[in-house]
Amino acid sequence: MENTQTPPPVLEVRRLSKAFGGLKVANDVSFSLRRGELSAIIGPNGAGKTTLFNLITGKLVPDGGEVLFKGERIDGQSPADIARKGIGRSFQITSIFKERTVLENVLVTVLSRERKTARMFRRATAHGDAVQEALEVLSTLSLAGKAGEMAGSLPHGDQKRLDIAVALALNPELVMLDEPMAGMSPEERATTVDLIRRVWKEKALTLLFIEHDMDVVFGISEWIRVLNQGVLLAEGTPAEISRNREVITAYLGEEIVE
Amino acid sequence: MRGDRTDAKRRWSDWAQWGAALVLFAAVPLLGKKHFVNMGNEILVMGLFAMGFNLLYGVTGMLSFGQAAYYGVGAYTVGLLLSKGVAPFWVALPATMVAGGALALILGPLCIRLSGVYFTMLTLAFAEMVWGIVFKWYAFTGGDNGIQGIPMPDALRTPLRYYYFTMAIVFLSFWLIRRIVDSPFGAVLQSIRENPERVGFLGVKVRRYQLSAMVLSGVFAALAGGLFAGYQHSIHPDMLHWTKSGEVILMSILGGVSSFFGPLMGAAVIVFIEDMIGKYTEFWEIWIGGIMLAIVIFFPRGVIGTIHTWVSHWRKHGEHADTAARP
Repeated sequence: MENTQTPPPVLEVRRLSKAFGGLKVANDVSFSLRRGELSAIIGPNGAGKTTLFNLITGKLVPDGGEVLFKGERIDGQSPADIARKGIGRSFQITSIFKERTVLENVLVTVLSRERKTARMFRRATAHGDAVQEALEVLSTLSLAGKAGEMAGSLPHGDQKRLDIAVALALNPELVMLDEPMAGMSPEERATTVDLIRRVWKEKALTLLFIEHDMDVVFGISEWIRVLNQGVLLAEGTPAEISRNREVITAYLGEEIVE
Repeated sequence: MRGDRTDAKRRWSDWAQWGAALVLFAAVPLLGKKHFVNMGNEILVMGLFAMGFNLLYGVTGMLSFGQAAYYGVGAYTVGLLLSKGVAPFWVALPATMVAGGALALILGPLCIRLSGVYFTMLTLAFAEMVWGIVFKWYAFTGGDNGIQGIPMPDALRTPLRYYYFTMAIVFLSFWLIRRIVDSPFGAVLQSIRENPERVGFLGVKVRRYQLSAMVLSGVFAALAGGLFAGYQHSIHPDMLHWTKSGEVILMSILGGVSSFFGPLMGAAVIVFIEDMIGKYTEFWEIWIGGIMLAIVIFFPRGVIGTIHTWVSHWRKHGEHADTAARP
């Protein structure tokens, strides 16, 4: 509050590295996320984008370097601890609870956030406030109408959005979406982009996403980071990135720069 | 709107199942044969054992092949406390739950370090160790002689009284299990079954919940074992044998692990088969194998689960016919 000029970064990654055998999947990666930014990570397949997400969210323990969330070190902590601190993520390969209803998928997250999951007696669905909140999260991703359906029976695009809803139900400060639009039709992509942008604005989230669709990336990102072979190749505004020679040769190709 | 209607239907079918189960078991003694009371008792006890097991398997997705250890420890808690005159039945029976829970607190952390088939193998290995101890420790457990002539309090001395006592305890346990499954805690367990990794990313310490499920399952298994000891008046190390662990798995799958009363139904089917076919041939296991095969083929979701699917299918078609008939 007192320091209005440079608010501290929400997330700070310092010289992060990780190797699988001899392969360096994260090589001295450093960057920080400004509070409230909407930014993308791009890069060719195998560049280490998902690995970076896994290192930040606790699925992997880094070999070296630090991850700071709101100034506090979180590297090496468990996914559960990191999630509780306020980082929510979605998954490239949709990760939901298929034989549970859409509502139950989100409700369990709300109950977890409210530290109510040790309750063994009262019905989960009798927690009216939590149910209400779960329904609200579902409606932000236009899934409220399907609350009673089995998650596994939804079409792919809806499952993808449910994955995001599960992450959002944590009410996180930082949301990390791993290819949120993969496999969606162009129409679904367009609606999902709108929904993501709206929820980012309404909840004042810091949002980081991985995406291969360059129209989406360049259309909504305030900032873009380019990863290649585990190295942060470049970062900048969409305009800067689209002019960057290194990025063009490594990933974008010529056709994107008119 | 639609959600409300399906909820109402679910609730109705729920009440119907509870009602039917209560009425059926309450009516068994009216058939007037001691043999049926004995069978009913065995179904109730094995049903509780299987329903407790299913809290672990069908609800949380952890296949334990070592539940007989908890069942046996419950039985030996009653057997030892009563035969050595340490405590009365009214103390010994609740003590089974403490013993079962404590054993799960010891073995659980060692088993949940691994998942999938490796978890299953660990549960089997530790249960075999418990069986070995009970089998070999003659001075304390009586070894392969077991314990005979377990004294019962006067209030429970007739089979009929013991039957209704068992029924009350077992249905109270069913009700508790149901509350647990429907609670926020149960929601976490079912989410772990579906996708344990994701549950961690929701801020939940998955292993803590897996251990809790093992403890609860152990508590109900031990209670079932204690009830069995009281009804048979004698116990034997066979109760801890791996075949007993296999039996509850069989019962649960037979009845349907994804329906609440499935394991009870499975227990009833197995006890019936043992009884009916056991009269005519000593090779009843072959019949169980054959029936199991038929069930897997014709009732892929277990008896109750598949009936559920049929009913909802039939309902859906009924509704379609309704709307089609309207102008």
